[in-house]
Amino acid sequence: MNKTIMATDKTGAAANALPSDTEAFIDANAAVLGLTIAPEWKANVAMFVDVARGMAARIEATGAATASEAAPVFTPRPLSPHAPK
Amino acid sequence: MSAQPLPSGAREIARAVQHGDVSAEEIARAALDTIAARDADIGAFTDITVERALGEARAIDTARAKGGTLGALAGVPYAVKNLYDVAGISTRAGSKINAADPPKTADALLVSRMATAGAVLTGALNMGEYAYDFTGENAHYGPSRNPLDTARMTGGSSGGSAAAVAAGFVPVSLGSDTNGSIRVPAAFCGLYGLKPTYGRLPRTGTFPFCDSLDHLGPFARSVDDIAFVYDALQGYDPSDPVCAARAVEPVTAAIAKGLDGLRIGVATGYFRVDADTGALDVLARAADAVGAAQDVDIPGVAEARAAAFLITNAEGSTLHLDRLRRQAVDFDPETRDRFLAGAMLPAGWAIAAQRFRRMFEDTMRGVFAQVDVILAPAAPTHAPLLGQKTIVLGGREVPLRANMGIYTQPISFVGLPVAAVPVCEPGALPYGIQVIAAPWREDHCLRVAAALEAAGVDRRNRASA
Repeated sequence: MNKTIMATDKTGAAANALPSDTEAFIDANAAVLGLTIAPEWKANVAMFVDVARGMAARIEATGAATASEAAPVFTPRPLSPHAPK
Repeated sequence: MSAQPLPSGAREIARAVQHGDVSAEEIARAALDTIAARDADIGAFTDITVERALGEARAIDTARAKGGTLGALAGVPYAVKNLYDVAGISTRAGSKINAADPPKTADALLVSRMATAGAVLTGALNMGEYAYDFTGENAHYGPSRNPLDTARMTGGSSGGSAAAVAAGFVPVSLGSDTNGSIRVPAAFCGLYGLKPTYGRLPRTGTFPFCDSLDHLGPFARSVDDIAFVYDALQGYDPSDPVCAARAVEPVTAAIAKGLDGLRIGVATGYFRVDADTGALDVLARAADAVGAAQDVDIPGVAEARAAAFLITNAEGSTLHLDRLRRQAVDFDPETRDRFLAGAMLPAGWAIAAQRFRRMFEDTMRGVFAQVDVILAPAAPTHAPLLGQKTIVLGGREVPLRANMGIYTQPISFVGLPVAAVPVCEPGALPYGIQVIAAPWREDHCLRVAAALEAAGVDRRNRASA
């Protein structure tokens, strides 16, 4: 299976991600999501899943998952500009 | 025809039309004739709006003949990336799938604002499919070719937007930038570009890529023309929930302030690891030109890039989930597999990335307490050859598409305004510099960009000097 080396990834997070379970991950998710993945596409899809896994590991290492509020904050808008505040 | 050569810059054209030195129709016909004669070799346009352009131009000439007041951009030809809605045209967003949609019945808001200011729309421009692209290549419509060397990429995804301006078809164009799609093509094609602060320009009537990161902005051949157009585009619109309810903050006059009082730093660390020698040389030259002596090593940049990658992959793919189910074979293969992968990402990965976005915003607030502007490379190298799949960065061969945005992604991730500035030696391919400022300080970006322009960091036109 292909692997993508991300140029700035000096920790090797992406390169070291183990792809052994990636194919099973793809098959399971494709079934749940109703996606059909042609056999000839699968290696490339797996490569991108593994890249994302490396990226996610890098973010997880920052502690961001529990450390702060997510960036998109929803602000309810008034029904009209003249509605009472 | 006029005896004199026609003006070519946006402000020059508007001034000439307003003074009656040339008609808007003459300018429009010249642009349309040039596009008809040369675009087959460039591939910038997917739709040419001949009748609309001539109609808009004649309306300007008629208004002038009646003594009416003309808009600031009177008679300025322009074109837009084909993810902007244009009345009468299907919004392709670079795809085969959306090309089958009914023609739009109204313009995108920024197209309407250009029209109100008197600009003349010449057409819609080629782009990477659904904006998931850094190359300007497109399996359905062919590549946009770099006018500086048609064997090379324009960069993407706003490849046609850069090509149309670099080829001299139009003085200005509009593109979009989610992870670098204005800044990378500007760098490869030797142009100026502006990615304003996230939330500055309303995206109403444009086809999204990733709402959390999508920006719109202009390309031009001078800083003044960037400012000229940007000032006409500004203004709040509640239809875009991200658009900030801020007053218009014109930048044209601010440029004249020069560098006085600005603290300018140069990005180091992450931003120098994988840049090639040429990119590092032009960064040093740009820094010298504006007296930027302070190195700025921003912590967490690699993580910011990773988080931007995840948000883009997850959010962009969710947008296309139904198309992926029904018409996966109709996608450009270069985007299809990334979208399929993104559709499967665990929600926690994207949410953690959004949490890191808040953390990195705090980091950048701290950085901008120390400097007002940061210079950084726009891309790690110059324009690659069309069809090229890998590049060598930091001594390693890596996939081109996945790595061309390494310097732009962390910046747009937290919505900072950036001016792209070309830096070039005579006879060489251009590189691009990002001029990065704190949120809502586009004026700082453009003051430094103008200083770089005045210092002559783009030496292509000085070959015989």
